[in-house]
Amino acid sequence: MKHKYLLGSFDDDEILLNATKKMRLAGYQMHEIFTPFPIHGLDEAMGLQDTRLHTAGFVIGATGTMFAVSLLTFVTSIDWDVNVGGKPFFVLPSFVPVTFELTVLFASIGMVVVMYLRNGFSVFKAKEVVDVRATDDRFIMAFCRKKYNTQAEAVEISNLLKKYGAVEIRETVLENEIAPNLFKVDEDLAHLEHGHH
Amino acid sequence: MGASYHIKTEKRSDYSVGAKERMFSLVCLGVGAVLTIIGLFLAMDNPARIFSSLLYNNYFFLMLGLVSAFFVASQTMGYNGWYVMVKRISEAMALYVPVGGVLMAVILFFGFSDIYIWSHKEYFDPNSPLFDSILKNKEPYLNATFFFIRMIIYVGVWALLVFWMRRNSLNIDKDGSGSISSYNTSKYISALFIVFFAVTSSTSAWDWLMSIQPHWYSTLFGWYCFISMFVTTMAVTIIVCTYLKSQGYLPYMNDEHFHDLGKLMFAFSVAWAYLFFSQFMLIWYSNIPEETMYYKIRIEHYSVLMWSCVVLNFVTPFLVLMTRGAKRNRKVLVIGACIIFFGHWLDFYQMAVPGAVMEAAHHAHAVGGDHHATIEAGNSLIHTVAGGGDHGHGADGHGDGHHVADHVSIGLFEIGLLITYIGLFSFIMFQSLAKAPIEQVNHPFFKESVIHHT
Repeated sequence: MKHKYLLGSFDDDEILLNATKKMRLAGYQMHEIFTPFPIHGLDEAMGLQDTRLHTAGFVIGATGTMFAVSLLTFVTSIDWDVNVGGKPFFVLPSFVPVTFELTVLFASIGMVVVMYLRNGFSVFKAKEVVDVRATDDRFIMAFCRKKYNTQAEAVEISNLLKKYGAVEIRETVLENEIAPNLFKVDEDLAHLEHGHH
Repeated sequence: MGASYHIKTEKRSDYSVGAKERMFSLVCLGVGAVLTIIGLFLAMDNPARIFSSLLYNNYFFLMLGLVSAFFVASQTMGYNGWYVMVKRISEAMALYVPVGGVLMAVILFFGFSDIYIWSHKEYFDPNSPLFDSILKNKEPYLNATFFFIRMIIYVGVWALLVFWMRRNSLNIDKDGSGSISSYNTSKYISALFIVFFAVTSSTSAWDWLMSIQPHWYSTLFGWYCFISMFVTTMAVTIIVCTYLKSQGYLPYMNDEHFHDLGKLMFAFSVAWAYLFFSQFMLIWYSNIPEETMYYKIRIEHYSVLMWSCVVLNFVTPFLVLMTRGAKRNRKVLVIGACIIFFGHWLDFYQMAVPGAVMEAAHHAHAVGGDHHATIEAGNSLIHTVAGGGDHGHGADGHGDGHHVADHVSIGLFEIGLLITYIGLFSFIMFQSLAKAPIEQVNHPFFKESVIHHT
């Protein structure tokens, strides 16, 4: 299945940030923005929901904690009593270092895996790059043509993009869908009109 | 758009000590003094407790000032911009250091022989029945002359560096925008401060707190105290900034800055737990009598106190301040900061007072040959007791002689001291705050701090 996107290409991050706010104030919600480096304030300007990655991290980390405590309990005091310096068999202080390490290990690896899954990365499949220049010196704003499917909307978006500083506008067709973002619903856009930038 | 950025100049540089602040400081000083004096009469029979309580309260607030200076120095060295918004508050807190230093000298001068058991010559004299070979080995470091020389160096150099940092900071204001020569000087001062602080924050903690139980040692004790004070400093900075913000000052300070302060407070609470546990577990695991006696007396007589420190300083902030929303919520942040402040104050109590009181009781028992002195447990530090080490008899010697308590609990005296010191500290801090513009507009990173975004 083919997926059509309208791409606006910018060559400056401040212009991009401003254009992002202006496009949303004009009522057009971009699908995704690709940048060579993180831009402070872009998440808010795009209206992205706060990430839930840390919640995943907490849950996976807590799983690691429980795994470690049950593993150590089983190993040192149920399956085979291990006498270390005459300490009791079931003794929490000596469990803490291993529990700490396993919690961190679970949480960090789990968060990477969740991030990969969420963004549609896969080990054996090359990621379809929307515009290779977004890894170098361009900032690419993508609009989904499935959402804005009429020709009139496409023309309007193109005109606005040009007005707000895009240096190039084109359409592209991808094999795979760009992983959809979760946007804030019923957000008050007033905050976009102010700000320091 | 960066070039056209303009800093508005209304209501900014004119902080003067408000009636509320002055009232708060004076009421704290008054109420604290009354409670302290009542507490003093109740605790009269135990000079070790009185002086060790004075010592740790004074240490706590002295370090609060000193670590504020460290905070400014470390942020300067890191080329950080966001902190410029709170720089003047940290500087004002740091200006407490000279006062705290002088008080430290006074307390140590009068309390030296009551706080430190190694102040008594008998333990170093091979002909004395009290001779202690472990202490003898430590004599090159633990002797009164060197102790007081070190104290004078710490306090003197800290005060000098703090004054120098402050003067240079005021020079940045005078330089006007465009000149960065004073700013460049601040790099050198900060580097000097950090190097000196790195050594002396540890050694001062050994001198003043760890040597209370001179047989005991912990290699991470200095860090432990430093981390504890860093968290407390962040907590106090948050409380002061929130207050000033509520009074209409610091108009450019927003959730982003509070979020960063909150992140530091959260992260260093976890670091504190890491050090607390590292110290505890290594001692518990290796089970060497010299080391375990530190925890033995605390678990036997102060277990509620010790574990409530863990709950207040680690578990509560860890669970409450974990989420982003909590750190950006001013109310939650201030409540967390208050809990942390009180928790670390309790932690310093359990570092200083239990040891001093127990050592003093054992000393009284060993010296006086007073066989009626009541001493509970046989976990004596001083093993060579006159008469062949028969210190066990004290345990059942229900005295009709004088009674030397070997453990105490927090009373009016400590609470009174805490309130008095809060009053003194806030008085000096607000006075210092009024002496310079509350926002450092000419700092090269001021704009970066205004537009700071996490």
